[in-house]
Amino acid sequence: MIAARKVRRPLTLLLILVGVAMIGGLVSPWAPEQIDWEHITMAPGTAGHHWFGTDRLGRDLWARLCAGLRLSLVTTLVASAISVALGTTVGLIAGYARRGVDELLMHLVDGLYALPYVLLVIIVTTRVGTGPGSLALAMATIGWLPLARATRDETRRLRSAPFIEAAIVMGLPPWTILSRHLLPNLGGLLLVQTALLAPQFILLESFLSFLGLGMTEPAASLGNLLSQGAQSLEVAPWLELLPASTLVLLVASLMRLGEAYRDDHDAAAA
Amino acid sequence: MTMTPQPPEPLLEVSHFSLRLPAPERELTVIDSLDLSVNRGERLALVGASGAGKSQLALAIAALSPAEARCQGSIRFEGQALTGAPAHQLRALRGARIGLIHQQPTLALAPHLTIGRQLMEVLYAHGRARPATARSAAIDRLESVGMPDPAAMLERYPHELSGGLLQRAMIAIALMGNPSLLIADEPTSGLDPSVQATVLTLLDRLCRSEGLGLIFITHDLSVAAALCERIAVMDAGRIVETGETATVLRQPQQACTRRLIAATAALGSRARP
Repeated sequence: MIAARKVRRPLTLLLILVGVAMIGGLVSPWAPEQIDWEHITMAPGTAGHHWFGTDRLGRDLWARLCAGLRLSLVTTLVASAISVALGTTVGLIAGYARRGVDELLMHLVDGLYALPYVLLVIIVTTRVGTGPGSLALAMATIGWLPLARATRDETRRLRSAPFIEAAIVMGLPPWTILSRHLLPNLGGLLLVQTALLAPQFILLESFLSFLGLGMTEPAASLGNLLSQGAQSLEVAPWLELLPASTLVLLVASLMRLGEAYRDDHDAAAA
Repeated sequence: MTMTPQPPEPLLEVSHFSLRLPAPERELTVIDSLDLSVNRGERLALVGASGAGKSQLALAIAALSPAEARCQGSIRFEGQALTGAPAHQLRALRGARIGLIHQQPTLALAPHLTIGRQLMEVLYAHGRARPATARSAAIDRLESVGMPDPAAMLERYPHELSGGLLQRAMIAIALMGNPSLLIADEPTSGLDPSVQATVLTLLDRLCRSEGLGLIFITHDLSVAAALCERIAVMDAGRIVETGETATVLRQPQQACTRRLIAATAALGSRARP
């Protein structure tokens, strides 16, 4: 059982951020892309109903931050789901199959690891186009690699466990052994790996959008809000500080949660 | 013209079988040119000190030797070669024709699956039953191994059962596919004496009623004598002595057999008040 005190704070913070992302936009009178020509580059609290101020096009920062947060979370969720599905499948097959198949799949993983990930992302986004879907796909292109390796190592270890040998002796087909006997025993590992991967996805999305490889205007994401904020840092520092603080809080809460799960998993395995 | 009756084909025939494992300096010979046969319905005790190669032989018969192992010779089961057989052929034999009872049921039963699920999986794997009939077949099998309240037992997880019940569940799973050969790898080690006796009685009854061939691996000669009509003594990967259990135990020919008998006798006398 994970120590409640380790999880309480980061989980509370994460739930607050998720809540803000989901309903924050609904309580704002402004839409994320709506322009208020009368209030351009206003500081937080200086103009009616623009609680976090406005950007240089008069768009409400609170509404855009909520939309950006929502998009970052959804993109991370989708990228994590794709990574877990792909990484687990490849890792299970490599860990359970004969040496030749294992070597082939692990060479593929190592080969993709060796490529600069920005190059991979550029290839995917140019083939599929920009948008949340292609961004999630691009992030998953590299996200599944550590999952595949960890799953493969754990499957190799479990393959010689007596209950797996017993399943083989009973004549169970490989698919049944993989899906019913091995996979349920990888739950803890997958949870830890995914929890540690999520903050990396958040950062990656921000980084790619900052570079213009992810979400592009007028859509709001944490990355392109940071990018726009950086351009107005001297005249409107809140445009940078508020998205940056949100990003830090989100990444920190996810990292602390991931670390708590990892510590719990390591303690259980010891 | 009178026909000479042919001796029955052995259920299992191991001929000149060797198994070597890679080691840092030189290959380790785990099984050395071993010959062994088991007839239908015959109960053979495979005894020997720890490290003699008994469990490795059991794994080799189930074609579960480590991938890096180098095997020579042949293992034939019901006339069919197991050494070098394709995976699908081995899968069809395992569980359905050859059952294996592991040494430690606490480790050999999947911890996250109910006993019922693990029993029924064997039937599904060999196309022996559909969901509608599998449950009643599993209950029947649990009844046959003397499991109390079999219907309720289907829903229990391994951690909810005692050592004796776990071993019964393990035996039930091994017999679920109605095999003709059962390999029991020290199934009574770690059990208290009363549970040991119950498990041995159960195996004896099942072998007689179902005509099972049995390879019973143990280092306890008293257990071997109680259950098996034939005994094979293993030492350093070889069978050094084999014959009727009573004869071998009364007139041992090999030093390692005498050592095992002496050790069993010493333990017995210590145990006596």
